[in-house]
Amino acid sequence: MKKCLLAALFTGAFSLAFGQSEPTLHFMTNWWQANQTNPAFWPDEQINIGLPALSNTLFFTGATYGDALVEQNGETVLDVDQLISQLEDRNLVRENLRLETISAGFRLGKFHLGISHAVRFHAFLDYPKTLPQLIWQGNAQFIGQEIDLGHDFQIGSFNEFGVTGAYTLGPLTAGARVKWLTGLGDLSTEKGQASLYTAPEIYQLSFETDYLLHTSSVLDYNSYTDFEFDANFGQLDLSRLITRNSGWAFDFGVNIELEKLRLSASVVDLGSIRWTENVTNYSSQASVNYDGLDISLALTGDSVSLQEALDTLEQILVFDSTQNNYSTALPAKVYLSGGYEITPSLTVGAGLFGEWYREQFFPAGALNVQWRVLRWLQIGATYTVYRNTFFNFGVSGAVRLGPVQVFLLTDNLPAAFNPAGSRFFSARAGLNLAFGARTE
Amino acid sequence: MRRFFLFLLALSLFGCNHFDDLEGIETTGDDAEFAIPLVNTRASLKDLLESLDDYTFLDTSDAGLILLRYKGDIVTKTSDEIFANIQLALPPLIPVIDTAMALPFNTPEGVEIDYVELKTGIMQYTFVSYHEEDLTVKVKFPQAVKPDGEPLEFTHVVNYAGSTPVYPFPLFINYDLAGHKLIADTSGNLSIIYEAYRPNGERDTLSNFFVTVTNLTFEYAEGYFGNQIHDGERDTIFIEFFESWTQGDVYFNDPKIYVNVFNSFGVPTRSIVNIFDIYTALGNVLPLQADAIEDGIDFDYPLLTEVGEEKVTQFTFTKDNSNIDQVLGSKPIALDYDVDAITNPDSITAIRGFITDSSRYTVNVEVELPIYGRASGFQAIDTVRIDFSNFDAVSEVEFKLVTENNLPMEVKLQGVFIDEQGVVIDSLFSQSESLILAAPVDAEGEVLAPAKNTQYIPVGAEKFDRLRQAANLLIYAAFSTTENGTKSVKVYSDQDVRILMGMIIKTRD
Repeated sequence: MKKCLLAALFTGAFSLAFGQSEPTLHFMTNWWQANQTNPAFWPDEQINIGLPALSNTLFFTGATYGDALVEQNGETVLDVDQLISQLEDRNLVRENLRLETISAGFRLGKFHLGISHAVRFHAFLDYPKTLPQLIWQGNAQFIGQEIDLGHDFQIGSFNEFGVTGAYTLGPLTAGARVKWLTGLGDLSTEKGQASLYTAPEIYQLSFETDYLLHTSSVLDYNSYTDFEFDANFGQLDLSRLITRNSGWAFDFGVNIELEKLRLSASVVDLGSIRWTENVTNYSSQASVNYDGLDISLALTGDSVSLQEALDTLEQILVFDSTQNNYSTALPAKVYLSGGYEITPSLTVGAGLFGEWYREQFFPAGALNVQWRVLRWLQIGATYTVYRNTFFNFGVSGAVRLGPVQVFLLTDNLPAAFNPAGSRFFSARAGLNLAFGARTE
Repeated sequence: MRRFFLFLLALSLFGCNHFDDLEGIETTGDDAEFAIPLVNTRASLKDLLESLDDYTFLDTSDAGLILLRYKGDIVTKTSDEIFANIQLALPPLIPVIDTAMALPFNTPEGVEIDYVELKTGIMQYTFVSYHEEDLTVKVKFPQAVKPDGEPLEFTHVVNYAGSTPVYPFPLFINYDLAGHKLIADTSGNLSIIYEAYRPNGERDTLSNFFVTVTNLTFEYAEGYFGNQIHDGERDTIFIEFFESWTQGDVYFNDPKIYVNVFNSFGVPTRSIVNIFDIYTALGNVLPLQADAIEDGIDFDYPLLTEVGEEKVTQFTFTKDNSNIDQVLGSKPIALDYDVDAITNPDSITAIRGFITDSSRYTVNVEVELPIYGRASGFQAIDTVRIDFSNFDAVSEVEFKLVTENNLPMEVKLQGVFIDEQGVVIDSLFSQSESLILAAPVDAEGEVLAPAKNTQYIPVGAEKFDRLRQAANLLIYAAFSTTENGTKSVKVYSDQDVRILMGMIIKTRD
């Protein structure tokens, strides 16, 4: 159990992620992938084909990789005490992974049309410090206290099939995208309230829950020591392009180019998925008190085993299960940005970004500069502020070799040099084919 | 899946291959301490004692004082045996050798039957006439009364047909005696009279006159039944209270042994004590001494006017009429007794009694130990199977014991862990610990207030490692009443002890 949670909070967390606005990408307005942040962004080429590309962002609070992993007798081990000591009262893990298989965009005069497919994986975990403390360090440290074990999480993946349309009218381009979503798997809480009180007398336990966990094709839970977690839903599987879990999402955006000034606004990922495939809902709404075994009969001769007491404790973590379909919303994002062309090869920009997810708002602000160093080489840099993290410097690099475009970017370059001390990781890499005359 | 994301993450971190280390990584610093409740129970002494063996019964006095009762087997004697003796008193074939004769009852020595009521019985008789003429024969039983109150008489006509001997017809006269009464004459005899008349009215005699009575059972008999012995049979009452005793002293303030007799024989009866010994845990055999054992106990019996009633006699051996406080204060583990009873112990024939077919004599013996007394270091030992082999992840534990005792009794405990071969591995404490304190009492032995105690019992890592080999825990429990057994206390049925136990488990990776 511990190992499993360790994977969820740390190993798993690295493979999950935080979100997720990708400001550096947003400011690369003349690249096909920037269209994902605003459907009104459209490259100059007549035809743009996006080949398989990958992006990933990860954010977490608490201990860093370097804090938690230590050398001991020549081996790298995970120092749980250190990991927990670095946690805040409430902690967050965000992951967003996007695997783009193919996309294409076409300029048809003033009309622009695009299609796309991507597999997206996202994860969210909001948990109190007391939860890993309880699991790894036990409840003895909380004798006489009621501790909050409430948490909120979602892990899910889905296919996204998009059709984008845009229209340019003078300096204004307005775009919209319709996305059909087919869910691959989901595990998410709707209600995650839980608390535990350990009485000082003889450690009587009071466990309060108001918990509702939904799963589609991910979890099969029988007891806390008997469950199956199928994490393969995040893999790219062409046989799972279409599932019975479906939903719709919409992106809207405008972009105005006034001489050297560019202003844009967009909202993306307004939508949800209805989960109907292999759905199970696990719920617990209980107030369970365990005061110890009444052994008054056993005192006269019958035997009572310690295992019996432990088995009784296990019964506390019993869930009711139902099979009711449910829905989950995508993390909606908003982008407000502007750019100013200082010289034909140098552009500066600024933007405000926000994301609503799991009833939380994640704001960000960024400054950017794009420099076309050579005709075939463009580089950029971004400074971003996320919540309480101020040391986020991103860079981008793009090369045009005829119709072939290759780009690589990150929103937090220091993490590449100091991954052991970082809590925010971001990277995107891609390959495009672009055809048609560019208008300089 | 994990590898897949680790791969992606490695890409995103521009070649940070350290994350591969997370696969199957060892952990440190995750030794946990879990606090869980183990026991939360409330038990009275009555609860604890109630599951003792089938011969132990709990009772309470009017004041609520707990009484331990140990009962022996119930011995019952019926009238069947006595009636069988009376039945045997009548010979199987009675020759009637005179026209008037007493039936030759051969009753047991000293038994004088005045009156009986027959439940069943078949009488047969026959005779022969050698007279060459007809005879009219009258057979009379003057002491036998038919159910309708008439005397039992028969008349037969024997017809001479030209040859002798002449037999009655039918040859054997059968008669059902059910419901008849037999009332002895003043000499205590039952007689038969026959009169044979010739046609001219002269009396004559008969030959080969025989009477048999079979299947004779009695409903009621009255008279003097002599000295009948009711064999009470030998029995042993085991007193489990002391079964596990190993050492210490116990003194019961007012122990008792009851001899209960239920008697519906209308006959004076007295006990004959053959054996009344107490076996102690020390191996001694102590005889109960009392005048009643030497002289016998006279049991009540119903008088002739109380037929059908059952008289109850309860004789109680107390510290005032016996040495019971000494013998029961010596850790008794069994009472061995053999008590018979004899009827008409003084052989006064003038006392006429009765028995019926439902008369019975029942006796049982009970030992009563009221929980009113004192105990000092009364130690019992018990063995509990244990197995810590499944607790590999546990490095050490600490038990917390909280007690709230309303009983005026202290419990000191020591546990000794032994392996399968009986080799001592370790002990629970360095020396016996008082885990449950006795409630204080007043001068009358009445509890004043509950005694509360909190005790921590640590079992360190080294010790717990040793205990993984343990197979049994020998528990030595020493019980002492308040003030170390120097003062007598009273234990009531509503007094209890609340025992709470929790533990903190320290785990290791």
